[in-house]
Amino acid sequence: MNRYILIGGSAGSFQSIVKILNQLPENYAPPVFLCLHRLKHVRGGFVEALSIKSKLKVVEPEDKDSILPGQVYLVPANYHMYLEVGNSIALSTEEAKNHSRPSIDLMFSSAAFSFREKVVGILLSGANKDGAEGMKDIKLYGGTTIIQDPKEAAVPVMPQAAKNTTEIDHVFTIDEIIDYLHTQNF
Amino acid sequence: MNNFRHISLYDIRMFTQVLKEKFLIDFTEYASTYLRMRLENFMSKWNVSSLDSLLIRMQDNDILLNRLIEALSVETTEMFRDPSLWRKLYATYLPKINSSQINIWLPDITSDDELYTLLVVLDRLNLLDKTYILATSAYKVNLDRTKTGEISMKKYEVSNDNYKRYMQDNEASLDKYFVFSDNKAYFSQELIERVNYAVLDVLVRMPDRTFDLVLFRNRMLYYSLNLQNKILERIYPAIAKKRYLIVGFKENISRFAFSDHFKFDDKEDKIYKRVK
Repeated sequence: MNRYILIGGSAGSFQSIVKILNQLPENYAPPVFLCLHRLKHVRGGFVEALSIKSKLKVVEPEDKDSILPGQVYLVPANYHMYLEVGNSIALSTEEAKNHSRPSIDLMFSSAAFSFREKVVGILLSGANKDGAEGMKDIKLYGGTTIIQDPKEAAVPVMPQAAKNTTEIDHVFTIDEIIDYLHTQNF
Repeated sequence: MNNFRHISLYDIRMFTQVLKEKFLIDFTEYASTYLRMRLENFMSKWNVSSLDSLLIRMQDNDILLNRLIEALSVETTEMFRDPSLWRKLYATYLPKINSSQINIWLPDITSDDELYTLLVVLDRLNLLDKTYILATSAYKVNLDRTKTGEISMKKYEVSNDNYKRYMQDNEASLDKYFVFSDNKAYFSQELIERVNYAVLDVLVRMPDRTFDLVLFRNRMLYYSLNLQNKILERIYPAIAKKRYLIVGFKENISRFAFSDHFKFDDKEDKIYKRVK
């Protein structure tokens, strides 16, 4: 695969993610990985809500599932998700990071290590710093770092924390993120 | 070690190989990302600059060796994780096991959560006297940790919150199963002593009985697929026919060679019944 699209978000990000997914075409090639802070006891509903207008299939993977092109993977509640060399998914019940399980940092870092310059990390609205260290790793390994413009984000703490931690390639509105994902020749 | 702040998969492979050959600790077939992150955290905590240095420091240092085993053995997060499963065990599965003795096995135990939860459920059912519980690990340090009963107050609070959900009662509390001291919680020693513990590597030796229930949740996450299948192949004959294997909510045994010997009894909570 040429690219792995990783999107992290928390408070205020859900509608943005729905909008992004709705705009991706049916034949979109890269796999997309969503790490959203979510209630740990709520197992269902998220995939269904994201799937309503998405042309791509949205799934909550199981441990050791293969990564397939054009599929959207949502991290299951109360697990961390790692992307492994060999194009498979590894889940984990390890301790919360930044009070979060799933942790955006851990997903981003694992992908950066495994897929290096092929990773596009996108960090949206959220109320804590989860994702900032992960974005640092994406940059370290040659990937592309994008944050939602803090001026647009419902809660700017998360994208701002990433901006304070590492070099960000693009500060985009949601419409600009959609445009970017469309126009890059992935 | 490369120049990045992470260690390479090659270095990890070499390290785990030496760990196995020299120290008889086998993490050679464990999942790579969690292993790498845990080793990096361990090295940072112990101020070790490379895996080679760690190997040198571990020579004649059983304390450091045990700390490493503990660091690489992931705890299963909290008691009553997935409350719906425990409600099903309480209401249906455990009472349904109609035999003079219920045999339950928790293989490869790394922490206390599942065991303590099981003990609470059995206590509430008044089934402890007729249940044989076996908890095993390849490493004594994991069993010793479980036997202390100690959990952090933070974990206790999360577990207590899960317990309320399990009981579907906001007033419910795990307090009666714990004593509290020095900002820690200690699970009932009386219940802990009801369990049979054994240092046992299932790849080498198996328990000498079959079981009505094998509770094996969120352990296979940390194995490679190859190791997962090897261990399942060893474990499954120990599950009595028409009895149960329970794995984690996001685990499955579909890639296991003998998966057709099982069918889902409850797909939502990953309760498999052995049919062949």
